[in-house]
Amino acid sequence: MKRKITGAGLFLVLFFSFQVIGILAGKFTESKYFCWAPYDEISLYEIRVVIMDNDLNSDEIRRRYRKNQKGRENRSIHNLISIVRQYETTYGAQDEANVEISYITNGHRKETWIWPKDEIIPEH
Amino acid sequence: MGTEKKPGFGRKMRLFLNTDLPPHIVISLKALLLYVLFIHPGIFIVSVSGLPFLPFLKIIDSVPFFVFSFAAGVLLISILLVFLRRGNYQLLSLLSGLIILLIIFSSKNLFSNSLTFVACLLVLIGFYRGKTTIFRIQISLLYLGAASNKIFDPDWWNGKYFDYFFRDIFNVSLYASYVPVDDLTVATYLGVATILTECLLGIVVLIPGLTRLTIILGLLFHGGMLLVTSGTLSVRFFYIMSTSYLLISGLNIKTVHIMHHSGIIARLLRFPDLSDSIVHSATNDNSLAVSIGNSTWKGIKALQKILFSYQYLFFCFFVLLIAHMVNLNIFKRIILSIFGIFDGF
Repeated sequence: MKRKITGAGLFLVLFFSFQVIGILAGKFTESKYFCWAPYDEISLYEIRVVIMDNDLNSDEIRRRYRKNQKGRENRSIHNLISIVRQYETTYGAQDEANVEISYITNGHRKETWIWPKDEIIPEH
Repeated sequence: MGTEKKPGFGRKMRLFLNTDLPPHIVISLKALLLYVLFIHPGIFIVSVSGLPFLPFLKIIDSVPFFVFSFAAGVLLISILLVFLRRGNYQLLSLLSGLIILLIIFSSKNLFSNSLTFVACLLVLIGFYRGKTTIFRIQISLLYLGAASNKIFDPDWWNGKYFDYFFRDIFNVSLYASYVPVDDLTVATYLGVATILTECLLGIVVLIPGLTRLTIILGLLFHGGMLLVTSGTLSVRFFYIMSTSYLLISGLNIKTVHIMHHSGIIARLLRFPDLSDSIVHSATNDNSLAVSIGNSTWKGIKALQKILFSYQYLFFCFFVLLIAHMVNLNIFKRIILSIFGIFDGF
């Protein structure tokens, strides 16, 4: 006899499938959302934003990205980069901001992500 | 021929009737909701006018902010209803979980693994039908996902991660004083042990016969991390994983019957009960009596039985952890003074 799949059963299959997809997708993306990767890397970072030759202060940066100007990222640093990149390509696109995120991940050499070039430059 | 309708028949009734969830599931549900309320109060505040903000899906940007305000309001009411012992717990749990997921999806800034896991557990409690398989799959996905992310990161294999973590981030004095700088041996062992433990937990949790082993191993793993970092790291995961282990534990929490003529005293004694399994039975007797199963106790013995019941122990466990996370001295003082009263017995 065939077993009937209920709505709840279908929901649960989809619910878990999305998580499996998230875990698999996480292997191919730099930012780590929905792939169960807590505390996989630790970075200390600092954000610098310049708009029309004006350096934004820490309050302005917090208001802009809802992130502290200086801090610790307990997940992939690319999660923070993706937030800033998304802001600069959407809500803040007209500002034409120059952004630098300097960070040290797991004690490695300092690197800086720069916008609008969207590049990571290792510090010598 | 008449067909008798049972209570709970029909959608309207189901909305307002409580479900027969086992006490340990009810404790987990309430512990998870306490976590949302005290550890992530920001989601209620930011939802009022600050969402959507950098959502995961572009389409969410076109959703007006009042939708999120409304959702946050519903979430708050759902939580309050559960603590007031009103409404259908499973429906409220499902609703709460889905709303939290919606709020997370509406802002990348609000994403956190712990909050997402809480939302998933709440959704799954909504689908609980007596079997723990759904919770086991969820826990397994978490551990296997976490392990698979570490497996592909060389810093977890060469000790770089843990060395940086202990020495520069958390200043773990024990590590710094005993492990020489540039010696990554201990950190390498810890990294490999973490990956292996997570893999093992992800597998054994799927085997119902190994539930006890899973819970002991999991608590040692998260508790150990808590100990090494002097309570600074992993408290959230220790708390959340404790609720998830409770979900799969199948713990049989017996109903405690309080017998006392005063309704106020009975209500006070029932207050810390997160499981809804302490009940008041009216009596004319002035002295306090407690009945669990077929046994009955009176006076001080009765009070002792209540204070050392599963219901009270779980309340203390979760509330102490919440107080530690919130780090409010007032909570600590209240809890310590309660323990001061216990010392008298």
